[in-house]
Order: sequence, then C-alpha cells, then structure tokens
Amino acid sequence: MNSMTQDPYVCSSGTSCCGPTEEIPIDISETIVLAGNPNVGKSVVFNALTGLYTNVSNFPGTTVDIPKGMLSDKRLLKDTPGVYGLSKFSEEEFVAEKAILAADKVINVVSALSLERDLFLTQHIIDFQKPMIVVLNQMDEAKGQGLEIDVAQLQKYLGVPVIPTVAITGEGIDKILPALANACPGNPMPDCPDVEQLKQLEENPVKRLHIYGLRRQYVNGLSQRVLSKGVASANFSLSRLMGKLFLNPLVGVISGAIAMFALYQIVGIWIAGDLVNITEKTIMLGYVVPAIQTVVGAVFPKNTAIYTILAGEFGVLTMSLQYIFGVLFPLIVGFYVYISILEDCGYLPRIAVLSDGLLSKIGLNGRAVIPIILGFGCVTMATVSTRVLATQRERTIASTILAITIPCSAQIAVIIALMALAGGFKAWLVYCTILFVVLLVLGTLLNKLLPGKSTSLMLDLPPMRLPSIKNIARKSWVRTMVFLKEAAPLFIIGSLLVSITQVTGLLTASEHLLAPITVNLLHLPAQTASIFIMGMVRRDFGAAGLYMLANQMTASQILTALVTITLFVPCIASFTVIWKERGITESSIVLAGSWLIAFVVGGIVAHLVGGSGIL
Amino acid sequence: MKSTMLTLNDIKTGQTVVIKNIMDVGIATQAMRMGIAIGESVTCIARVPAGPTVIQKGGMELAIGEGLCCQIEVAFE
Repeated sequence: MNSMTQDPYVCSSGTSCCGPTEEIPIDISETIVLAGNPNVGKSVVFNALTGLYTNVSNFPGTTVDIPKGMLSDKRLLKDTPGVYGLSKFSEEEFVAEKAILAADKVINVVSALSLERDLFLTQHIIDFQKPMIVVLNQMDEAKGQGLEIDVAQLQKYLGVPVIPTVAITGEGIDKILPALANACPGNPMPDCPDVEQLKQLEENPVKRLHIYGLRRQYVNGLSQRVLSKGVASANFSLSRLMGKLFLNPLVGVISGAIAMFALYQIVGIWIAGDLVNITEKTIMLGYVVPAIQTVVGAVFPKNTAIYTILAGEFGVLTMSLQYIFGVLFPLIVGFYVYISILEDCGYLPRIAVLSDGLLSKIGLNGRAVIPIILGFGCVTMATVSTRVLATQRERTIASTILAITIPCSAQIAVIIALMALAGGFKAWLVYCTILFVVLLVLGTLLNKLLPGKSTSLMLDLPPMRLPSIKNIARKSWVRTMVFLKEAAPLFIIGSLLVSITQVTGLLTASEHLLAPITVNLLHLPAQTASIFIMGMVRRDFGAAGLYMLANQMTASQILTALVTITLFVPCIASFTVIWKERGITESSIVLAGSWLIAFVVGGIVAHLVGGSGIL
Repeated sequence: MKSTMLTLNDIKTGQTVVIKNIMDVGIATQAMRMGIAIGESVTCIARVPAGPTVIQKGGMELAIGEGLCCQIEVAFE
C-alpha cells in the first residue's frame, strides 16, 4: 500500500513509469483532488492544469498510481484512478476513496456523454460533504451525440459550481482554478443522514445497497431534468457503428490479424530492417564506433583490459551506444507510436471484451488485457499495473504470465531483427504459437492450483474516436524518453559486467559450465551461454547479445535461443517490482519457474524444430 | 449459484430486457453505481460467443462477463 502514496513518476525500483519527476515541496497550503469515472478526461484536465504529462488514454483503468503536480500558491493537485463511487471494491477504488476523503477540495470531472452514470459519484462526494466543483467535460462530443445539458439547472440542483469544458482543446480550462474559490459541499440527496452516520451505514453491504439505490434514483431524476436529447451527428453514428463492428468476433480476429501484420511490416521490416540498417551499420558501426575505438586506442593500447572494457566487443562505450541508439531507439519509437494509436482510438477495450472468454479460462478476465498489452511495452510497468485487477489471485496469475511469457518492447525490438534472419513469417508463427501455448498451460495450471475465485468482467466501453496526432506524438515521445532514461544506465552497467567477465575469463568459463544445457540440450553454440548471463542483467540485453552471434547460427538455432531467452528470467528491474508487489516467496518461485520452463521448452523446440526442418 | 430464470447470458443481440434481480449484493452494488439497477431496461448490442454480453443503456456501453451475466436475472418487457 505504501507505494501508492509515493510519487508515481518514480517507482521504488528506480524505474519511471509514465513521466517526468517533479519535486513536491513539503509546505502545501491545500490539497486538491481530481475525481471522476474512468475515461472522462481527468488526465487531460490534470495535464492542462499542471502542465505535466500523464498517460492520457482511451482505455478505462490505465491510471494506477496517483500523479501529483503543483499549482500556484503551494496548492497540490492529485489525480486519482477513475471510479464509479466511493466503495473500496478494488485497490484502485481504495486508493481513490482515500485520496478524495483526505482532500481539502475536490474537482469532480464528469463526462457530458454519460451524465446519468457519472452523477452517482458526484452525489456520493456531495453526500460526504466535501467542498467541490464539477467540471462538465466532453461538451463537444455530447453536442455531436445530440445531448443538450442545462448547466445552470445542474448547478442549482447540485449546489456546487459546474464548469463546462472541452479539455482536449483547452476550452473552459482557464475557468477551473478560479471556480475553486467557490467550491462548496453542495446539496445532499433528500433525507441523507449526516456524514459520520452515512459512512457507518455504507460499511454494511446490505444497507449500502439500499442507500446506493436511493442515490441512483435521485441522480437519475436529476439527470432527466437537465438533459435533453436531440439528433446525433453522422460522426457519432459512425463511431457507434465502428464500436459495434469491432465487438464482432470475426471482425476482431481479422482486424487483430491485420494489426499484427501491420506491426510486423512497419516495425519489423521497415524499421528493424531498412532504418536500422542505416542507423546501426552506416552511422554507428561506420562512424561512431570506429571513432570511439580510435580515441580509446590512443590512450589505452588495443590489447589491454581497459580497452576491451571500454571499446571491445561488449565495450561500455561501443556496444551500449551501438545498441541503444543504433538498434533500440528507432524500434522503440516505432513500437510506441503504433501501440499509442491503437490505444487512443478505443480499439484496446474492444480487444479486452473479445479476449475475456479466453482470459477467464486462465483465471483472469478481459481487464487483464491492459497489463498484458502494457507488458509488450515494458514488463516492469505492466507488473505495477496488475493492481487494476480486483483480486490477489488475479494479480499473481497476471504477474507470473507477464514475467515468463510476455517479451517486452526492448526484447521484441531485437527479436524482430533476429526473426528476419530466422526465416521471417514462418519463424514468427512458430515463435508466437510456442509462447501462446506456454501462456495457456501456465495460466490454466495457476488457475487450477491457486485457491479462491477470480472475478468476472464488468467493463465500460469508451466510444471509438479518431486518434489525436498530438496525443500520440506526446505519448510516444515521453514513453521513449522514459524508457531510455531507465534502460540506458542498466545497459551500460550490463555491458560493464559482461566486459569484466570477458576480461577475467569468466565468460569463457560460463560457456563451459553451461555447455550441457546450451550445447547438449538446446543445440546452440557454446557462446550462447554468455547470452543467458547477459539476459540475467537485462532481458532484452540477452536478446541483443544474441543478435551478435546470429550470423553463426542456423534458423532453428536462432528460434530456440529466442524462445529460451523470452521465457528466461525477467530483467532485474521487473524482478524487483515482482518482489515488491508479490513478496519474496512468490517472486522466487517465478524466478526458479522461469529457468525451468525456459530450458525445458527450449529443449523441446530444439529437438522438434531442429529435427523437422520446417524453417 | 446459477439462476434457473432468464439471465443476461440468454439474450440475443438487439433484444431489450428489464433487469429483475441481481443475485449477489456486491455485484448489485457495483452495477447500481453504473446505472444498472433492478427495474432498468437495457439493450444487448453484442454477444461474444463463450464471452461477455455487451449492453447499452443511455450513452453507456457496458461489457459484462459470463460469470456475472448468469447472476443477473432479466425478463422481456
């Protein structure tokens, strides 16, 4: 729980998940909390007010921690995860409720698109008598849907200031902070008990349901009085139609296949092939690396240990730069832009719905698609986001699956480059099938073995919309920068460690030591042992090391090595997070399990694929 | 606990039904906050085979998993 109250931009593992670090001064005059249902534009409002970046997305449930930012006059603004009421149904709700009840003032962001639903939370906060204002957001989209809201009437009924806005274009944002001066507790629903009594009554599940029923009835009436419906625009009907279309399983499978193929073509062929050829071969190996070697060679002779450490094969200066800027950077940018587009247009929640049936077989529900997809970006960040899942059971299953079967973007970047050498599409198909089977078997086993019961899906679907280029550009850029900031130091430390083991002869020793596994079981060259050693420092680092050996390996050997390295130990950063989130026992089991699964599955692949000659 | 009555799992795309009972108090409470309460009518806009039912009420679209749908008893109007 402790981590929830920390600055979310700096996870305690030292990895930054979503944006820049901001020092929060200790003397705070007032704490203002942003509250609202999921996907109503809270994060956009937060950004507009603080100038900070948070992950604005069209997927309910992506804000896990509480972003904070300073306003003028030492006022602290906190964002909260989207919730439908103050009722502690999940950890997210617990965090949100705690922040809202501790606030001096609340800014309640309400979507004009779903007024009736959203007003429940508004009335809940009012009934708890927190001084607040309401920001009525997405007014433009509401107009498009033919919804007309009488703002003056709404303000009168609620008894708190109501500010209409279009946060995404900035319309009305400048009126929010001045309105805070008039924040007030508002009008509780008729016959509402006093705050302390109400809190106590809501502790009892049956009485709570009764009170919720009264509140629901009251706000439904209120919404009916202020809302009038006209004719929806053609754009909106199209968005609805698209939304429905993407819920069709057949369309889902086809669009999923198209999305996968587009990712393969754009990131795999154009970026990993053509662009990386220029950035790595021409720029890094052609100019930068030789320049570094000349400079280092001028100071330290070529056969010294220091030269090897600094500018050798795994050199701190040479290899780190070559991989970070030559290979990873273009691929990471490509991957993030792509994922951001899918996220921003509302396609991801539809995937959650379609995958719910499958995920419930492995003890998860459709919501777990959020951490799993985030895992393709960064497993560390994804493990933290498993908090959006309702039970500990689901979190255990999701973290284990993430740690073992999901390759992160850094790893995928290198895997894509290697797959081109291993036979392209066919190799991909085999690789994905193997990982998918491992995921299913592992999930099914965990679902059978773990005690308790998982929860079922209840997910609100946001409308489909055209992705905003500004949003995507900003999101991809910040994510890339955060990734580089996190990855670069570990990369440099990693290559330092590897260079040292090389200079001291440990790397050769490890190659002999691990030979029974690498050579006999996996049918790989002995040098791949060093890849597994590097993989322990950082997951993608292992894959990157493989890239160097690839020209000496056959297609099936590359595939075996890739499967093994993917299933193998999660990187140090993500292991630290699993330890923190799930405890030492569970994280140790995950670690040991990943070794076992990696080598067993790797062995099977080596014998089946190597023997069959399908590649 | 499985219902013998008609539940959200039994309706087809395009059908509109009234919610009659939600068997679990916790689920009823969560649904209540989102505006899905006993007596409200909802329209099914999509059914994923062996998966969730997607219902629409007002401007809201809500996907409900199989395990929850079988707890929500409904009737045709």
